[in-house]
Order: sequence, then structure tokens, then C-alpha cells
Amino acid sequence: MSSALSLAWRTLVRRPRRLALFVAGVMVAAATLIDMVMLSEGLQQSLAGILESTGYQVRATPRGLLPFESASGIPHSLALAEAFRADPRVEEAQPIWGVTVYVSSGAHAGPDRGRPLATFGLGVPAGAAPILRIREGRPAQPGEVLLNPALAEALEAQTGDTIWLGLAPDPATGGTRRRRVMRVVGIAQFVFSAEGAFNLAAPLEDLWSMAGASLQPAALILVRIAGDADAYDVARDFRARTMNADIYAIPELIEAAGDRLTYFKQLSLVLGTVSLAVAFLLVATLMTLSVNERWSEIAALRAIGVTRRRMLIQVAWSGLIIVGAGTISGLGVGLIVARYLDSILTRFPGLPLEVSFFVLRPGDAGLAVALLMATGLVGGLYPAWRAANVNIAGALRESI
Amino acid sequence: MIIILTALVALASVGDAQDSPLPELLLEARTARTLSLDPGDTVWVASLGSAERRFVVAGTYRRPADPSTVTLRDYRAILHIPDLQDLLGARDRVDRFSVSLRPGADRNAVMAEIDRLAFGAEAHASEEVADAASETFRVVSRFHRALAGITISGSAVFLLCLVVLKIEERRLEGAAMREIGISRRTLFLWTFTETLAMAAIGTAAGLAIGWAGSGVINAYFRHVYDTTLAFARVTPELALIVAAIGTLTGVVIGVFTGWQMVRSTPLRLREP
Repeated sequence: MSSALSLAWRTLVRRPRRLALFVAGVMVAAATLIDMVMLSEGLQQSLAGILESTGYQVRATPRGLLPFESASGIPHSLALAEAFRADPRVEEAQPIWGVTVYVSSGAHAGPDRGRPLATFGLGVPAGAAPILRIREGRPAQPGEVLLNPALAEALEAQTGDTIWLGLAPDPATGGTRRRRVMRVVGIAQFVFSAEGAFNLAAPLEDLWSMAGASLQPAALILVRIAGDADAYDVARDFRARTMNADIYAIPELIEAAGDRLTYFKQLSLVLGTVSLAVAFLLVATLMTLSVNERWSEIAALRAIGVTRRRMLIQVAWSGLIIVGAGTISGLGVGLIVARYLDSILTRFPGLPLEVSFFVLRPGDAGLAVALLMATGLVGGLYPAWRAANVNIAGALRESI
Repeated sequence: MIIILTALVALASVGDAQDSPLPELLLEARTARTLSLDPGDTVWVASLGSAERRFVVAGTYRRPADPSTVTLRDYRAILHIPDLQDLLGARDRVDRFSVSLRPGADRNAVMAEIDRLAFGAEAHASEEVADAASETFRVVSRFHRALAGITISGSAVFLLCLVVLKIEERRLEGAAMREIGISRRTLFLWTFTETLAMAAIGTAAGLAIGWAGSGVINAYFRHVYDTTLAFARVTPELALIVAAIGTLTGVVIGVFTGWQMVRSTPLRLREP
């Protein structure tokens, strides 16, 4: 085996420029395949990572909708959150609401000076900060807000300042309707915030009261599971007895959102398959032409006693060496290309800042490598079979 | 079930509505299908915090083929503006106006006037709205161009590999032809033409596969998203660009390989 490998290696490096060209061809196919494997589940993995990072394993959303998909909400969310908390398997349940609010500070000096800024207001339980990453300050109590960095910059507001918060612009006053003064108690990033978007977080009761939302709606309820309890079990049990909400464990929510990602899955499947087909064609064609070129040499080797099996293994090794080298270099190139492609796709408007489309998991990388090596092996089989079954006398006669 | 309600500005069936004791609404086909409703059925509609009201299903409609909403799976219905305002408790309030200007009107001046007078409203030209809504597709387009670049580089390397092998296979043949007096020019043209022909055949086959593939892609995604949108199209301009890139690749590699064939002496070509 080792001598066949050694012979295959020495045969290939006899023509280093040609070997480099072959490896480059496989490298492009390997890089594309790895990128497509990363893309196929990347966005779901990335979203799942963000969802898991918040520390809540179950989510309740308005029936038929995903969180923040529309202004609709789960009615009587406090009661549902209480029902969750009453379950011994649940450690904590936090309702979250989202509503467009208008904010002005009177201090900001931009082109919209004095005009209230339309902002996505996030209602969170007073004193809590789920799905928020606080950069400075503390969670908001009644009458207080947390601003995201983009809004704080636009308003030229800092911790300790006061701002006007209203539900709708008021043509009569130039301010906002149903407005109230809120104190800024910190700067926080909403984990699903898009680049440059304006967000603030205020206590749920404040936003409900401003909006006159007597039914205490929530865009989602976050549920933290206690100890070893199973998130799927909790989700299934509550799903069966809740009329106004869909209840999901994180993987179920990702699957529900997966319908929107069909495009990327299909694209990665198509391009991944094409990459494998190209790798197969490349190896099969190159090895066939290479065997043709060495026809008389192979016949001579056979004539001096090299066995068919050894010949077959040697040619198969040649194919595997090319694919192996192409795959290793393709991994590196694929990661670089993935970063470039990710930088394009993450410019989708409204996409959360922390989302990535290309996520490399060790299992996926292993799968891509295994597929490529198998493709290389299969692609090299026909030329290897031809080399093993060369007509020795005929080939030697032709070479004279 | 939560349904997104949209107000219908054009009161298309106002006559029927006046004859009927119940207000009417239109259901999107998917909503009607999910709720097993047909025209003439009665439905109860409520918004958060409002009392339920009964409506008659006047008909169903299909969502316009809009790429920016094609992946949304929400349920939709269309109501007359006053009915929706009553339901929401938001009298005399709308989300947006569409304003059609008289011929010759200064659009910028009208927009400035709206911004000045209508506090809380912001005027945007149709192109701006379309431009903002198109950002997603510009990103997709850039992504596709990047993928095309990768594909082209892969194809070029593939073609180069094939041609280099072919040339190496023909070293002896080339040496013999040179020795019997065939000119370098003829040898160059022979190699160049063959490479170009391979590139041309590959490009034509690729176009044919792309054209057939676009049919499969459209059929699949139209079924998935229940829309009439075209997701992939092989336009004449695109075909021309593909043909040009394929030909250019063939020419560049053809020149390179042709030169490789003729630059060496017959003696060098015979070297193992």
C-alpha cells in the first residue's frame, strides 16, 4: 500500500505545474462545496445560536406568526406568562411586546431636529432585560428607558437624560400624542436589532398604558426551563392547551422560520451538487487523460511484474492525492470566500447584526471532506480499472 | 388565527355592501383555504381589544406577485377603510396615502409642502419607495454575481486542465508536424481553434442546462410560495453575457495553450 502511495506521489510530482493546476481545479470545487454546506444550515444555526444565547429555551408567539412579524400580539400575555411560571418545569417566563413609538429629546441637532424619531419600542418586564445586551446602566423601571447606541447617538442622549416618548406624532403640537417623559437609564443592544435601526426598551406597563392596550399583548413570551426539564415537552404541553399562541422549543421555531429560508437551502443544494459533479468530472477526466498519457509506462510496469491490484491502487491513490490536496486548500479558500459572501448577504435590510449566513460546524466540514474524498475515489475508479487491465503486449507494441 | 387586515381604498363593491346588512371583506386565497371559507360565508373579525364584528366574505383575491412579500406566510384580508378604522378604534387614521399628481406638477415642491404641512407624514417619491424595497434584491443580485465569479474561475481552471493535458498528450504529434514542415502558425491555430470550440460547446451546453434549470426552479418556487413570480430567467442579454464570457475564457486559454505548443522546438517536444 505504502509503495503504491509512494509511486503515485512520485508520478504526480514529476510534473509539478500540472499537479498544481489539477489541485487548483479541485480546490475551486471543494471551496464551493464547503461554502454551500456552510450556507445550507448557516442562517438557522446562527439564529439558533442567538436564540440560545438569551438563555430561554421555549418561546410563545402569536398564533400563525413569528415574533415581531406584525403588530399583532398574544392577548393576556401576563396570564399566560403566569401559567408558564406555575409549571414546575419552568424557571422563568417573560413577555415581550414591540410597538412603534416616537421619541424626541429636543437636544439632537441633526437634519430632523425637533421631529420625533420613529423607533421600535420593546416592552420588557420592569427591572428585567431579556434579549437585551446592556452596555451601560441597568434595566429600566417604570418611567425609564434603555436606548440602543444608534438611537442614543441620533438623540444625542446619554444615561441620565430625559426624553419624550409618544405613540403617534401630533400635528397640533409638533410633538407626539399620548406622550410621557422617560429617563434614560442606560444603553443596550437588542439582540435582533438591525444595523442602524432605532430601538428602545421600556417597561411593558408603560408601553401598554401609552398604547391603551388593555389586553396586555405580547409579541413573544420567553420561557426558561428549569434544571433537566425537556423544552420539547413543555412546548408540546402548552401548545395543546393554549388557543392564542404557538409554542415552540428553539429548534421548532427555527424550523418554522425555515420556510423563509428555502431559497438558501435550495441554492446550496443545487450548487453543492454541481460542485461535487465538477469534482467528479475533473478527477475522472484528468485521471483518464493521465492514464492515457502513461499508457506505455503502465504497460511496462505490468510487464516487469507489477500486479493489477497494485496498479489499480496506485492510480486510485493518484486521484485521492489530487482530491486531498485540493480539499485541504479548498477548505482555506472556502472559508475566505465564505467571509466575503457573508459580507454581501449580511447587508440584507433589517437583518439582525449578529446573524451570519455561513457557519462552519465540524460535522459539516467532515461531511464535505468525506463527500469530496468519496467523489475522488469514485472518479478515479474507471481510469484505475483501465490501468489495471492494460493490454501489455498491445500497449508496448504501440509505443515502439 | 391572526390575520393582517388591510384597508381597501377602492370601494369596488360598495353597492352590494349597502344592500347587505353586514359589511364585506375580501380574503386572500390562502386565508380562505385555511379557514375553509367561500364567498357568501360569514366571519367574525376582531382586533386586539375590540369586540368581534361579523363580515360577509365578498370574494377572494390572490396576493400581487411582489418579490418583497413573497416569503411572508401571514394570513391577509382586505376591508373597507371605515370598517377597519372602526375595528381598530383608529378613526380617520391611515398608514399611507398614494398621491397622483396632475401633469406638469412639480413633484419636489409637492413633497416639500407635504413634509411641511402634514406633521407626522413624510413624502417619498415612488422611485425612492421602490428603491428602498429593492435593497433586498440588490443584495441577492450581488450575491449571485459573486457566485458567478466563483463558477467562472472554476470553469476556467477546468478548461485549462483539460487543454494542458491534451497538449501534453500531443507533444509527439506536435513535434512530428513541426518536423514535416507544418508552420508554427498552423499549429497555433489548430490548438487555439480546438480550445475555442471546447469553450463554445461548453457554453452552449451550459446555456441549455441553465435554460432548462430555470424552468425547474420557477416551477418549484412558484409551487412553494404560491405565486406567479419568475425566480430565474435566461434573458437574451444574459445569454449574450454568458456567451461572451465563455468565448473570452476560450480565447485567453486558447492563446496560452497555443503558445505553449509552438514555443518549444521539436526536440524539446520529444523530451519525456
